[in-house]
Amino acid sequence: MPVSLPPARSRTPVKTWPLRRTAILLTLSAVYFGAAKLGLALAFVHASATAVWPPTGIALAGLLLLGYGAWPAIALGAFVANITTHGSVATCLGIAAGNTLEALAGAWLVNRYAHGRAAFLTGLDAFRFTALAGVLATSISATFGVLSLTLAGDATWSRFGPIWATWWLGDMGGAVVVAPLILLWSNGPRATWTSARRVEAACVFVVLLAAGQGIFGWFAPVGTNPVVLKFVSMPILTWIAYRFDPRTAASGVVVLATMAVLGTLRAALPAGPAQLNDSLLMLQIYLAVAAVSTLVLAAAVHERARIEQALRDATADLRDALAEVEAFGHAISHDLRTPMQTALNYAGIIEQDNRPVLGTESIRHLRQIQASMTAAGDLLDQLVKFVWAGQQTAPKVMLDMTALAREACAEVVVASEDGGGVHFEVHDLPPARGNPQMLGRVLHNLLSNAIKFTRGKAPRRVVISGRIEADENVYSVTDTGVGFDPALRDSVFQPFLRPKAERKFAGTGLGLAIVAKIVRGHGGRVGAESDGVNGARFWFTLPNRGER
Amino acid sequence: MNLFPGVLLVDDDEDYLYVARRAIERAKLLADVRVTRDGDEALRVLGLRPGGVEPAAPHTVVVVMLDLRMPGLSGLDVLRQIREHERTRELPVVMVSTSNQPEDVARCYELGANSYVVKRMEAESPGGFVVDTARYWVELNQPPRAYARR
Repeated sequence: MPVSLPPARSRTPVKTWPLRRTAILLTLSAVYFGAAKLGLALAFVHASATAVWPPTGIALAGLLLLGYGAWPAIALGAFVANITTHGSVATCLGIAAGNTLEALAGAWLVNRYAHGRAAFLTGLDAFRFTALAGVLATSISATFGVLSLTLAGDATWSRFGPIWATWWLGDMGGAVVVAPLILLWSNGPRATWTSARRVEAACVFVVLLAAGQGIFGWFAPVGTNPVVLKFVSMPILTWIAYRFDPRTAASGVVVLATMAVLGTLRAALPAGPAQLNDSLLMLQIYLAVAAVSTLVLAAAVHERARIEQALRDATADLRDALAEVEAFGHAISHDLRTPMQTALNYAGIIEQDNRPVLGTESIRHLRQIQASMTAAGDLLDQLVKFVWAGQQTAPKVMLDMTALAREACAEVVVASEDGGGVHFEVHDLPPARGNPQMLGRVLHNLLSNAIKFTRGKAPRRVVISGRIEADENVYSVTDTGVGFDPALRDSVFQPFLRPKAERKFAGTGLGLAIVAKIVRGHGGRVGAESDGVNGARFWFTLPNRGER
Repeated sequence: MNLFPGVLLVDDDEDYLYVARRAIERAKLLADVRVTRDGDEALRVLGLRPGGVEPAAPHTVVVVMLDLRMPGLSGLDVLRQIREHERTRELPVVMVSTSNQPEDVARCYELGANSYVVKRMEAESPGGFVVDTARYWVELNQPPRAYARR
């Protein structure tokens, strides 16, 4: 899709002064440490394994935004948080290595396959982020961590499974809930909201907080709720994703996650650690599902809005360009016509004044000049009409096509020298919606063609008829002229196509091209038929349903 | 002193003026052709602006053939001023232009032009359309009143 995305990869980190960068990395370390301590406070299945692990999201977003070089900050934060909580230096080094590798692998995969820090701006990238950083990369940390604990004798092999699952799910929750929030707020598209929009946002977040209280009891205790009630949050998140930007959606997800963890702790604390861990695990799965659905929807909505805007811009640009070309055409036409006319006039004056002394040869040459100038003038006329025929903004009304055809007949008879010798037959034509000048031009061109190509034939007859079909009206102009080579039926409407056989007839080769352009601009089709002997039939259709 | 009905040609194109005047002379049309190169001069000749123009003998213009596109005052500007003045409100004005754009034609009639003629490419008789047009207004048309300059 030709849509411009923000810088796809974060390989080139934000350029900063060394001192400032050090400060930023230390801050990242500190934030990681704080979040890790918070997570470890909820470690129930094992002192080092928790179902709530926001640091994964912080580390991932940190590397995506600051570059891979920020890894020591992650390693430091992870090591210090663990060593100050539980375990030997060796175990904590193993855990820190797992956490760092998880972030590096996640960041690399997202950079490589999901447009890096712009991952939440298209639906597909959001899915890829979930699979690569949320599901795949997090297994690294879980494996490293639990192996370190088990090998150090800090946990038994029989507990490997449950601890690993807790670790993995906790990391996954961190990746899909926390990372999008940081990425979108530091890097996401900024939208300016109207005051109505701000009110709507305030309302939806109040509703979300209220629903969170009803479902999880985060603010005040509530009785035990059925699991299915958790899904009440979905329409609210969908509302946010659909009506607002990805950044707001990520915020909604974090608000929900915070309420959910608080409420679950309040409800399950009395039941003991094992029960609490199970509740938190279930919660992580629920939050991951809610987060992914919301963020993918928000990304898809954002993507569509962006494409629509790009399309609108492109259409407006095209329209401007077309108007410019048309204005340019008029100017050129006027400026070119004047000198052509002057040349033509002086050629005529030379002939008038000097006829007796000019030889027949010189007179012939003067006539040649005049003929060329006249042809160039006609071509100029037709070119301007050809550009005009592409105008899409011309107003359209319901038209009495029969009257329009009669007018066109009268026009072409006056314009031609021998149109009076042609018998026109205008049948009742179904009305159609269109621009009167343009459709008048279509009929004019078809009829003047008919006059031209019946020249020298007898009888000279032109029939204009029409009929209504399923969703279009068909209009045709049939003549008794010389017809055209059936092999050319698909190309007669191309500009400047003038078969050799037609060269004896005057014309610029644009008449039928103008017809085709106008008819297509009206949502119709054109066609021509001839056996090359007994005249020709030219037809065009106009839609008769709905507005085109 | 020329007391033939006056034809006022207004056009910035010297070649057109030459061809037009020559064609009218050759056609032996009994008209007093007066040419002006811009709108301002045309308005002076018509007595709608003071000064600058050599005072003509009693000069009766029966038709103005006015170019649409001119530098300075455009044909439309001149037409508007002619229609604004009581004395020339009904003076026949023929707009002359290379443009056959429906919008141009419509605009001229809206502002009160009596006719609109497209400058034709005439190989056989240069300026023929000027003669044809002038002949109609000079010989066939009954003017609303005499436009004598006082």
